[in-house]
Amino acid sequence: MAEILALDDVLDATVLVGKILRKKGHTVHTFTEEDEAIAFARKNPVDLAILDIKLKKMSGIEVLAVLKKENPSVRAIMLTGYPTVETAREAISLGADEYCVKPIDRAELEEKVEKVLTAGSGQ
Amino acid sequence: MKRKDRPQVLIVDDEHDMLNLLTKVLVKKCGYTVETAFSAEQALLQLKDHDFDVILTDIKMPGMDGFEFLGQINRLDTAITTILMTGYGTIAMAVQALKEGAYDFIEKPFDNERIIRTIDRAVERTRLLRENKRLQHRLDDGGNRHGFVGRSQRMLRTLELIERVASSNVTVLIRGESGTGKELAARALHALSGRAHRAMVTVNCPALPEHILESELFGYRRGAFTGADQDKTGLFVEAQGSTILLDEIADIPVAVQTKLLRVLQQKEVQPLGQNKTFSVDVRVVASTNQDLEGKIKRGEFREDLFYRLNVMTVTMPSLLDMVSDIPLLAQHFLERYSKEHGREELEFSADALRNLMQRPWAGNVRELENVVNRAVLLSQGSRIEIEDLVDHYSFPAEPVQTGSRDTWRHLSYKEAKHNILEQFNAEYLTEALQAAGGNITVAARACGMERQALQRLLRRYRIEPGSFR
Repeated sequence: MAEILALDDVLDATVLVGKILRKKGHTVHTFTEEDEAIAFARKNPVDLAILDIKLKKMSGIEVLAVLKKENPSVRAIMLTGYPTVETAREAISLGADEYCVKPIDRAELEEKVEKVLTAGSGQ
Repeated sequence: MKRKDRPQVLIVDDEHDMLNLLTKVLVKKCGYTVETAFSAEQALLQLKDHDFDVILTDIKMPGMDGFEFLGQINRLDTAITTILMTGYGTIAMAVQALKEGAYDFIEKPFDNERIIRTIDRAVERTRLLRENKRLQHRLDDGGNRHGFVGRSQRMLRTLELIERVASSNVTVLIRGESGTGKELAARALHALSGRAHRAMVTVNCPALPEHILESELFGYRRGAFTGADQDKTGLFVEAQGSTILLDEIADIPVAVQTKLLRVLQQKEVQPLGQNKTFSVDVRVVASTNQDLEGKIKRGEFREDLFYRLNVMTVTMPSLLDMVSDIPLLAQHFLERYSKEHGREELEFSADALRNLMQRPWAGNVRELENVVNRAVLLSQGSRIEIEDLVDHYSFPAEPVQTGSRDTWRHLSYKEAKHNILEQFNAEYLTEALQAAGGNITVAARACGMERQALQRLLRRYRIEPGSFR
């Protein structure tokens, strides 16, 4: 099963994502602070990062760039309540695997995570 | 900026107004060369004979939609940058577009500044990708520059020249003796040019009779002559956007030379039986091992065509010009053929290598390659000796002093005699035929023998009288 990092400035959102994915058997590390998430990923390489875009200090896109730089094989799903073509373009070009719009329902989240993880292990 | 250097943009949209508006903006404000198409299908046809840098396409179109079109473009040339646009975009659509390889996704209506910025960036991307590909290609060849192994000054200078002229569109004439790698040089010129993503078209001029050569090169229209039951596209049109190699150009008939001159001057071809001319964008590379200046004096080659072809000349060094490269080349062919024939760990004896360096090599690198190939097949032990390098069974393409005293002491009496005789026969018969211009009857009379006897000898020594005519 996979090591997953979830970062969202809203605590409840991370809790929810954590709950859903732990039930699927994954290990989920939740964060509301960008720097803590980055520091964690540095020490403990994760398989997948689920990132909100509107955060407290940085944007999720910037976090994505840092994570990808540290570990290019990390998979990433962007999750945002404020989708724009601009951030979608940037996220995809930085190597995000999915760009999802909140609210996301449980089935969709499970399906996207599954898809991204299988694609990743196939490489 | 010359028209050729301007970025080429293709806009695809089923709405005329949109095409007009975008064309106006891109031509006026950016100075790009803009082509338009009303459908993806039409655009794909245009892509066949035109090099675009950037494609701006609508998503919703009758027939093939923008996504499918995007897939087709990526299969064709990954360096082309595609931007998708739509009137009613959703984020899901944008994500799909970007994941499938679109460079950007724009929602209509958009402001001009935005579109100009996006296309400028896209043009830059394509330019970088193409440049990168060219450099990558060079790196891949690191140990083996464009297929050339030689490291002598003479070879390196030639390769530098090839690299320098590759990216321009000038006509290049490649000269050099047979077996020096003229075709390889042409391939390198093509591979290093901006036309590399299209296949190079090669025409072996002397292989085709005059009227066939003409219709092959320029095409014909249905009914142009008996048997022309449908239109035929000529090789020049087929090489649109690419390079055409006219191999052994010295051998083309004067009538075809005149037509060729027209292509080089006006950049257009006129198929047989067709009043219309078609403009073509083809880079011409010609090669020859003959004395063109001599042919011009004898009136067999048009002087004006020569000057058109001779814009840039690359002369391939003969093997004698690069004797210091012989061990390297021999080793290269040894590795290749020992792998091919499953005989690894073969090596040359010191004597054998010395022998290779002392030979005259009239057939140049190709002859060296053949000699090494044969030696790999024939050698008994793990080392290639001089004996393995001597050919007992067929005579060399040009008179070569294989039977010199040097090699005698390594051969049995029978082999040495056989060698000398073989060499004598080959040289004597070749000269006799040359003097007679390939006419067997005349040659036989000069040699004081019957025609049939001469013919028998020619067959035995595999000499083709036709090649002397």
